[in-house]
Amino acid sequence: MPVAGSRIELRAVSRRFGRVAAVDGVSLTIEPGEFLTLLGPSGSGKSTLLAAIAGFSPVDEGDILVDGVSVRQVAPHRRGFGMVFQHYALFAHMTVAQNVAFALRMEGVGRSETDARVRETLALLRLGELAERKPSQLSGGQQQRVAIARAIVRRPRVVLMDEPLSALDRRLRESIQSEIRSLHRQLGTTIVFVTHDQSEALALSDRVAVLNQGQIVQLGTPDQLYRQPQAEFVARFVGESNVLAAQVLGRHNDEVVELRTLGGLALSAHHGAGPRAAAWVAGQQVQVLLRPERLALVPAQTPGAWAARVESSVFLGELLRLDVVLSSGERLQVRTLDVQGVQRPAPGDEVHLAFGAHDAWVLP
Amino acid sequence: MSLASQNRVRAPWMACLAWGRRSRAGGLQTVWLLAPAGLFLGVFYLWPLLDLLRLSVAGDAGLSFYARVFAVPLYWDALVRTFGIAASVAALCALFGYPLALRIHGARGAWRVFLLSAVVLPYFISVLIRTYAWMVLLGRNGPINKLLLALGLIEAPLALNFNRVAVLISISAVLLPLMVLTILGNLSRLDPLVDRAATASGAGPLAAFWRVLFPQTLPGLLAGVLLVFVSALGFFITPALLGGPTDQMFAMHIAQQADFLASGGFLQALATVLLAVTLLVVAVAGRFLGFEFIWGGQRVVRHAVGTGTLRSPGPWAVLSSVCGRWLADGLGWPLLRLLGRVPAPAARSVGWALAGFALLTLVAPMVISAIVSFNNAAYMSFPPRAYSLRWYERFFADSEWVSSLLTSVTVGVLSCGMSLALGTSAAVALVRSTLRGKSAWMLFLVSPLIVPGVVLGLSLYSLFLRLDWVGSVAGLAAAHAMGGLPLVLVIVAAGLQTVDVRQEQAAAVHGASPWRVFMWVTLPAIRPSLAAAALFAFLHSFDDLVLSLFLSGAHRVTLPLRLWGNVNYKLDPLPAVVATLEVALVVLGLFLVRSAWFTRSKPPGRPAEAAAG
Repeated sequence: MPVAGSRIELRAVSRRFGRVAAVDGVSLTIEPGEFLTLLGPSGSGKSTLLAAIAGFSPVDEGDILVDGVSVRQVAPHRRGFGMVFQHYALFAHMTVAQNVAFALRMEGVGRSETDARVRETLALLRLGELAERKPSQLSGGQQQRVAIARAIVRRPRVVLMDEPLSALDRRLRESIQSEIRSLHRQLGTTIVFVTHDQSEALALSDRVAVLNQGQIVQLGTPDQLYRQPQAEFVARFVGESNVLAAQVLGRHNDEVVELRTLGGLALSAHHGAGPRAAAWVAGQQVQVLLRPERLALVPAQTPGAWAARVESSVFLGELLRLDVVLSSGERLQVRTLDVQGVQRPAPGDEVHLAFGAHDAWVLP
Repeated sequence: MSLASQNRVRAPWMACLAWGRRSRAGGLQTVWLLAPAGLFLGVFYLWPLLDLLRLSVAGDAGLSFYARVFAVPLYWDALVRTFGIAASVAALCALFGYPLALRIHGARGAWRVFLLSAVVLPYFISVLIRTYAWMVLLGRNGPINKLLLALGLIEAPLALNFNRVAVLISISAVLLPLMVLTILGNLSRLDPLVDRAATASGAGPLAAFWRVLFPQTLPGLLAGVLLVFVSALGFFITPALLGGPTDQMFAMHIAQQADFLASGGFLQALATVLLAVTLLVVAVAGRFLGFEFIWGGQRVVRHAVGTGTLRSPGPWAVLSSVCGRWLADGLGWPLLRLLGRVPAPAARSVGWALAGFALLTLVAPMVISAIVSFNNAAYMSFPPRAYSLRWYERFFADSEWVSSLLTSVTVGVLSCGMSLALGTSAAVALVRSTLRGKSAWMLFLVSPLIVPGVVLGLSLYSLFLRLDWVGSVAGLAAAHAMGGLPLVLVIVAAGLQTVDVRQEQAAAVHGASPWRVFMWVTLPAIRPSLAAAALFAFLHSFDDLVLSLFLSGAHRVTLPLRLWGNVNYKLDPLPAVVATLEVALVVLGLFLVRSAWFTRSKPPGRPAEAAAG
C-alpha cells in the first residue's frame, strides 16, 4: 500500500498583495516522503505558501516544481494532491462515504473499486461505522478524520494540511496528531503541514520551516530548531526561552566562548561548530539563550552558581515554574521537576542556579 | 392551583437558579411581550379573514358563490392563467437571478457594492413605480423601440406593451431582487473553502459547481422560486398596467369588482379561493423546505447524534436506488468528468450573459426614469431633446401632489412606529423566552407577508366600513403595519440572536434591573437592526398601493394612489419625478442605516487567540 511521495521544490517563490509581500522569495526543497511543517505566527505567509503549492494562490515570481516538473501552469484540480482544510470543508449534502468517494469518482474509478477503496480508507481512520452519516451528525474529531480520509483516498503523492487541528481541543488534537504520524509512516506520502502551534510542529515533523514576514527564518529538524535556533525570533517562538544580552570575553575552545551578561555575570556558552566559530571577537555584543528547564537549582556553595531571589512560584503538576531575579537585576524563568519531599521554593526565597556550557546557546 | 399562579410563585427563585437558560426576566414576563403583537394581528388580520370566510358563505348562499367561481370560464381561466404566469415568472427569475447571485457572491470591493445596490435599490422601490418605468421602456416611442430603429433592425415601432411578454418581463424584473437576495442569503452561509476542497479533490470548475456548490444552494433557489411564485399569484398592478385583455390575472377581478360591492359574498368567495390557493402552495412548500423559507431563515435540522437508525428500504426505494446508481455510473459521472474538461471561460461567459441581462433589467428602469424626469417637453418623449427641472417644479407646485406626499409620509411614519413597537417586543419575546411552539408563533406573526394584498384589503374593508375607519390615517397606518410588523420581527429577531446573552447576564449580576439591562445593553446592541427594520417598515407603508386602494376613501389620497390614477389616465413624465425622488429617498435611508451599522459600539474583543505552546 505505501506509495512514493513526491519531491517538491520551491524556487524563490513570491506572492504579493498590493505592496505587501505575503511570501517573499522562499526557496525550499521538500524531500520525497518527508513530513515538513511550515510554522509561523498569523500573517507570516505560511497559509499563502501552502495555497501556492496547492495552486489556489498564483505565484507572482519564482517557480514550484513537483518531481522536477513545473506546476505553475497546472490547474489546482489537476495537481492530484490531497488537502485537509482548517474547518474541515466537508461537503454538507453528502454522506461520509460520498465525501470520501468524491475524488475517486472525479478520477473515473468504477463503482465497485471506489466502494472497496472508500471502505479501506474509512477503516484506516476507524470511520467504518459512520459511512452513511452526514457531516452534521459527526463530532469535530470525527469530521476531521473524514476530511483526512477524503484527502488520502486517492493515495496521493502529496498531502497538504492547512492548520487541520486548530479547531479541536487539546486532547483530541494529541490523539489525531498521533493518527496523522502513523498514517504518514504507513502511506509514505510527502506531507506539507501548516500550523502556528510550535509544539505541534515539533511533535509531528521531520523538518520545520519557521516563517516570519513571508520569509524562512530557519529550516531544520525539530531538534536543531529547539537547541540551536539561528535567530532570536526562532528562539522565542519555539519553546520557552530566556534571552540575555551579553558581551564576549574570549574563546574557550572551538565550540565554547566565555561571556559576561550586561548585568555582570560570567558564563560559558556554546555555539555550533563551523566557520563562524572563529569569528568571535572580545568585546562583541551577543545574545545568549538559556532554556528554563536547563537551569538547575543547586546548593548555595556550588562554584559558579548564580544567586537569585524567587519572585513567584507556580505549580504546574509535574513541573514547577519559578520567576526569579538575579543578583545582577536580570530576570529569568526556571522550570524544574517537582520532586516529592523536596521543599518548593517560595516567593522571597534565595535560590542558586547552575548550568553547563552546553545548556547555554549563543545566538548568531 | 392553576398553572399560571404556580409559575408566578416559582418564577422569582427559578429565575435566580436557572440563569443560563432562562432570560433575565425569568421567562414568564418576557412571554407577555408577545401579547401586543398577537392581539394586533388578531384584530386586524385573523378576525377580518375569518369574516371574509363567513361572508363568502353567508345567508342562504351556501357554497353557491364558490360554484360560480369554478363554473364561470372567466374566473376559472384567469386562475389557470395566473398559475401559468406565476410559474413562468418564477422560472425566469431563477434562470437570470441565480447567475447574478453567483456573480455578486464572487465579487469584491466597489464592484460588489455596485452589484448589490443594483439589486437592493429596486427591492425597496414600489412596484407601481417600477411598473411605470417598464411602461416607459416598452412604450411605442420608448428607448427600446428607438434603439432598435436606430440600429436598423426594425422599420416601424413594435407594440411591446400590453401583451403577455410585457407582463412576464415586467413581473419578473419586479420580483427578481427577491430571488437574488434569497439565493445570496444561502450562498453567504456556505463554507467558502468547500469549493477549494472540491477542486483539491480533482473536480474542475464546472464539476465542482454542479456537484458541490449547486446542491448546497438548492434550498435557497427553491425558496426563491416559491417566494416569487407566491408573490406573483397575487399580482395585479403590473398586469393591469402592462397586460392586454387576454392577460387578466385572478387578483385583478377582485380589485376591479370591489368598485361595485353589490355582488354580495361572491367577491369574498373569489378572495377566499386566491387565499386558499396561496396557502396551499406555501403549505406544500413548507412541508419540504421548512417554513423558514418565508422569512429567509435556514431550516433547523436536528440530527440525533449517535442514533443512526436506518430504516429498511421498501421495494420501491430499492428499485429507484438501483436505477439511480445505474444512471449515475453510466451517465452522471462520465458527463460530469466531461464537463470538467469544458474550459471554464465558456461556462463563465454563459453565466455572465444571463447575469448581465438580469442586471440590465434592474438598472435600466431606474436610469430611464431619471432621464425622463428631467425632460423639458410637455409630453413624454425619449430621448429628451432638452433637460430642465420643469416637471419637478410642477410636482412641488401642485398642492394635490404635495399633500399626497405628506399623507404618505405621515401614514408611513405612524405605521413604522407601530411596527417597531409591536415587532420588537414580539422579537424579544420569541428570542429570549422559553416559550413552547416558538416556530408556530413565528409562522403566524410572519404570515401576513404571504397573503395577497387584495385579500387583505378586501377583508379589512368590511371591518373598516363597520368601524367607520375608511379614510382615517391611523386606520391605514395600522393596516400597513400588518406587513411592517413581520419585517421588523424578522430583522430584530436576527439581530437579537447575535447579542451575547452573557453581556445581559453580566449587567444583571452587577445590579441592573431587567428594564435597565434592555435599555443599556440590549438596545444599543440591536440599534443597527432597529434602524434597518425602521427603513423596511416605513417603505413598506410608503410603497403600498393595494391596501390603500381599498381603505383610504375618496379624500385621503396617498402618493401611490395619486400615481395610480395618473398612470392609468396618461403616460407623462410626472411619475418619473416621483420615481427619482424615491430612489433618492431610498439611497438616503440605506446610507443612514449603513452608518448605524458602522458606528455601533462593538463589543470588546476577546483577548487575542493565545498561540498554543
